[in-house]
Amino acid sequence: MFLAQPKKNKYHQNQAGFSLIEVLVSVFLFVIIIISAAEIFRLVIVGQRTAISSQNIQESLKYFFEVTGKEMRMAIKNDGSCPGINGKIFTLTQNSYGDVLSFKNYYQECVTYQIGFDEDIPRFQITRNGNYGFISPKKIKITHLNFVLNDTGLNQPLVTIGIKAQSIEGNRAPSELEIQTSIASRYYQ
Amino acid sequence: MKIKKIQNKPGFTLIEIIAVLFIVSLGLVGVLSLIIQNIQGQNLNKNNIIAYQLAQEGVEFVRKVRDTNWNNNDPVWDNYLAPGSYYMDYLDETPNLLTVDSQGDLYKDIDGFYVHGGGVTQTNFNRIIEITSTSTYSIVIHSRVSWMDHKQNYEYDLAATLFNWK
Repeated sequence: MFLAQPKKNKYHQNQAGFSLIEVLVSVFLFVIIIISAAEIFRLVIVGQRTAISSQNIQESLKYFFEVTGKEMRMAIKNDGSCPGINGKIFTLTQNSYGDVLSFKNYYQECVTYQIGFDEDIPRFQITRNGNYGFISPKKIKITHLNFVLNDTGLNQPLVTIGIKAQSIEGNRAPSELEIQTSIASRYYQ
Repeated sequence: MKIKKIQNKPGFTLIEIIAVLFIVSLGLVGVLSLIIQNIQGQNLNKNNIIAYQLAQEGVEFVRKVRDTNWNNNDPVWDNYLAPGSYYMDYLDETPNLLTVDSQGDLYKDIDGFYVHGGGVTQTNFNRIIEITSTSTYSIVIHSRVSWMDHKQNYEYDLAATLFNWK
């Protein structure tokens, strides 16, 4: 084996190899191509994440308006059996997180809409007869929830809702969505 | 000697390299344009949702006016709702007649709510409520929300019919 070595080396040395310049250029090109491919790959992933998180927000806010819109339209006059102003349909109060809307729903349940904290994540909380639940997913922060009540006593009550949601995932490009709508009561005296 | 040998080796021709670069860039452009389209689609969806809720709000405002007329036993059930184009905010009791389209431009007020005047920042959205009378007991509302996004105009038109049927 050791005797055969020099012969083999000689054979290798005689082969045409790459020059230093060639190696440098090819390594340089390889690095450039790899870096750009990785960057494009990263862009694709970030883009997909942004798209998915913004879709999540859109879906959950659509669902939010689906649920709350119907319940608020069908709200009935508070006859004193629910907390809030007697003889009014909607009562607006504030807590430290934002606005709190209370009313009596079509099924005679006392309903409250507010922001509730669930393991440090602000979520949209609905309370019906003391039982509460969250209808916004955990992946989404409800950063603002504002209600405006236009009830002069002479007009048909109108509630304006402003809600702002932000995705928790994708800190680099967090998706945000802010929606406003108004709902006129369908309750007739 | 060695250098001469290398120079004699066959390499890639210019045409070959151009062809390779062309194919590679085709692939990259395809992937990138797909992502851009995806993000643009999401953006359009987002604006569509905002516009839909704003349009719905316009219909609710008109509804409130009709219901208030009922509550006050107004002999004219569609009082303040004569045919025409209007703009209306969440604290307005009656619609305001529109003379120029720019009056329909929506601004954000201090609390972050959309208003037509006295707002802090202008948004891309514009809402015009158009009322047409179809009979003595019904009106048709078109709540049109239009917006500009990347120099393109979009519109969401929500129609509703209100009756004098309690």
